[in-house]
Amino acid sequence: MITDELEHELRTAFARTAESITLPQQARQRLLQRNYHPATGNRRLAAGLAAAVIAAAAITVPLAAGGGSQPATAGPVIHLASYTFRLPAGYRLTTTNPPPCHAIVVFPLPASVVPAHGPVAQHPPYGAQMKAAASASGGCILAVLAPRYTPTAAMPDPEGPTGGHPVQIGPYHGVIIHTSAFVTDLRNRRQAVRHGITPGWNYWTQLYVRLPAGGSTMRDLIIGARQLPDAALINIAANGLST
Amino acid sequence: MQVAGPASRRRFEAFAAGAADTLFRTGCLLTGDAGEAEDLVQETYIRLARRWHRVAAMDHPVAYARRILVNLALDGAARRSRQRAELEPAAGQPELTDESAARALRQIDDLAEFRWALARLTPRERTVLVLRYWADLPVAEVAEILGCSAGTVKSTASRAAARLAQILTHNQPPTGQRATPAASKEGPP
Repeated sequence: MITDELEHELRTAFARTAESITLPQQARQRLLQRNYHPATGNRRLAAGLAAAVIAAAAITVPLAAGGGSQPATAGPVIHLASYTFRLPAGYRLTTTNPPPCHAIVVFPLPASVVPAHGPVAQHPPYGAQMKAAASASGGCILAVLAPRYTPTAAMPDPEGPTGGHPVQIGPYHGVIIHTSAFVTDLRNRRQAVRHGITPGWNYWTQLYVRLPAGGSTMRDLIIGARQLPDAALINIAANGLST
Repeated sequence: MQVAGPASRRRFEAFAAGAADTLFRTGCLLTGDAGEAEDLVQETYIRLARRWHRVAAMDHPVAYARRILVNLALDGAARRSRQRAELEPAAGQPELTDESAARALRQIDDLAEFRWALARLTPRERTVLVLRYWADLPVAEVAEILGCSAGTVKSTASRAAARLAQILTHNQPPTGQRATPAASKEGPP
């Protein structure tokens, strides 16, 4: 049983602490400007519109496939430091633990995921800094700002992968790489299988963007995705880094 | 999914604006991280919006929102607590009496130190303290939110308070962890 005196001190400490916490103006704007009520209308009309959108997409996607920045779609946002990355519609924020994301987060599963190429790599413990979002169809987007590093001639980017295709995200250099892993174990097999993740080969894409981090240091923005085209991944990074 | 009319949307927006500070503070106290707190508030609003027609009719929608936020924080807490496991205070340190614990709390001169110590508790211990002594909820309501008995809430609160004081007495936060939670979000990458 806690004494009255201790309860009083706890209340005082919490009150002082809470008072010292203020919601930053930018965060307030981010929170309140979001549309929390996606509009839905007449179902028959919606079905007709959806059919029209699909038909239009069949025409416009090939035209857009050559490149160019698409406007960010109205999904949730991931905040990393001062950057805000808006994700495509249909995604919801989640932790990195549940399916479908956990199978592509290598570091919590060092024993169960073996990279398809080369020896088993031990990923840095990004931990709670890694943000994740998942879609109902089994898509997953993971994003993290890796720790700062000082590039050297021998090791220009210790975080970056070897190989991959160079990409330019605004003023920043990056590389995009298609990765595969052989999943030998799943924590929640039934749920994972429902999301399309099965023991065996699983594929995802990773985008590394090198960002200046003050002085001579750099840090990498890493966005990994499953079931997302390269152009969409680049678009997320480009829009987030331009804000 | 519901169709929200303009009036309903305005009510939701007014509610969201009014509750943002309280929910953000709760999120900060529960997670110790401004970014995570913002994500928690955003996810809370998403869930509230889905059932706004029912929430709007409640006597205390903020209490309902806080309940969602607490559950979201606890859902994500296992991951965070695993990562902090190595930072837990060493076992075998002496238990403090309530009097000593009260003294340790009274002597806090740096609030970042209190937040740091709070972050060393288990998620459930932290949640009990935040709900009891910041949200000022009665034991029965905390028990209902956490799905446990009133006795468990009392014993958890007692243990958590003792541990908090013990951490404050025997441990010092690393220098880099003295930044304010709000500042850590808006700083340069």
